[in-house]
Amino acid sequence: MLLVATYSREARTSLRNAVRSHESAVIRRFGRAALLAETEFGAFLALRLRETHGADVQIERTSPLNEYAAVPEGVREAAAAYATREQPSTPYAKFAAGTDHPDPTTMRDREL
Amino acid sequence: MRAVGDSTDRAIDLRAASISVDAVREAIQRNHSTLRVDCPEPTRWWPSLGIPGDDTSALDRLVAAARSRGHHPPIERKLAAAQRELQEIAVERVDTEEPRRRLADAGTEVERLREEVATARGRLQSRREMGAATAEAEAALEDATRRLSEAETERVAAEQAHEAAQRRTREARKSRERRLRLQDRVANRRRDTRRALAASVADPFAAAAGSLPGEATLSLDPFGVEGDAVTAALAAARIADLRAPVIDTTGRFESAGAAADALDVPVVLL
Repeated sequence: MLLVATYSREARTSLRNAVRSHESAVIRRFGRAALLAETEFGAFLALRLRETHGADVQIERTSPLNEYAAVPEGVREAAAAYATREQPSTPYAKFAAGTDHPDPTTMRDREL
Repeated sequence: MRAVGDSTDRAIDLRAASISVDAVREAIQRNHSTLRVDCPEPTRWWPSLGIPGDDTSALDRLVAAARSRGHHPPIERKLAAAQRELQEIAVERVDTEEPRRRLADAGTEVERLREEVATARGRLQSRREMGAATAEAEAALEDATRRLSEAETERVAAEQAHEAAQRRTREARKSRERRLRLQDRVANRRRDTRRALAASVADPFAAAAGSLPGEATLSLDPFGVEGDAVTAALAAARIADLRAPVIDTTGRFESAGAAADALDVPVVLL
C-alpha cells in the first residue's frame, strides 16, 4: 500500500479532496494521512500531491508485517510475555532484566 | 468634477447622476483623481462595512464592526503569540528527488550489466567448447565484468546518499510537523477571536437588525449569520464606527435621508 502523510494545511486539504473524489483508490484514511491502493492510479494520486506540495507530502510504500518471517522468535515471545505480565506498572526494561527476554537497547540497535 | 445631488448634510442621492460605486468608493478613500466627497477620512474598517451591497461576508462585517468599536478580546493576544511562533519556524528544504532517481538508475544499470556479463560468459564458454578463438570473447567478458563492478560501486554510493537524504528528510519533517500544529493553532485562535469579536457586538447587532427591514440573526455555535444578508450588512454598518459615509446600493430605502436615519451614518445613495 502507499502511505501518504501531509505536513501542511494546504497539503492536508488537497489529500482530503483527493481521497473524497477517488474513494476506490483509498484503502484507509486518517486525519492527515491516507493509505492508497498500490496501483498506478494510487501512485498517480500520491505523486500529484507531491508535485503540488513538495516536501509537505511524504510517500511510503508499506507492506503488512509477517512477524513469523521477519521478527526473531525471542522478540515475539518477549512481546507476548510482556503483554500478559502480572504487574501492569512494570516497565519493559525491568521486566526483561535477569530473564532470557532481549533488553530494549539491544532490540533498538538491531534492524529487522 | 463636482457631483451635485439631492443632498442634505448627512445624505446625498446620486442615483440619477450615473456615477459608479467604484468612483464614489475611491473618492471616499481619497483615491479618485477628479471626484471628491467632502467627509471625514474613513476608519480602517470602512472597506469591510462601507458598501452593504458588496460581497463581503456577513461575519467579516460583524468582526470589522466590533473592531471599529474598539473591542480587543483577550484571545487576540494568544493569536498574536501563535502567529509569531509560526513565523519563527524555519523548515529545511531537503532534495530527495535526485537521490531517489540516482538510486533507481544505479539499480537498473547493475541489472543490465549483470545480464551483459552472463551473456559474455556464455559466449566465451561456447567458443571454448567449439574450440574457436577466445581472445576477443575473453576481453569482452573482462570489460563487462569491470563495468559491472563499477556500477555496483556506484549503487553502494547511491544507497548511502539516499539513506542520508532520507535521514535529513525525517529530521526536517519534525519542524514541518511543528509548523502544521502551529498553523492549526493560529486557525483555531483566529476563529475564536472572530467569534469573541462577534459576540461582543451581538446585542447591538440584534437591536440594529430589529430596527431594519428583513431578518438577520447571529449564531455563535455554529458560528454564522443567518437570514437576510443585506439586512445583516446594513445592521453591521449601523453599529460600526465608520466616520465616512456608507454607500448604499441595496435599494432598501426610499431616500438617502431615510437610509441615513436608519443606518445612523451619512449615506450616499447609488
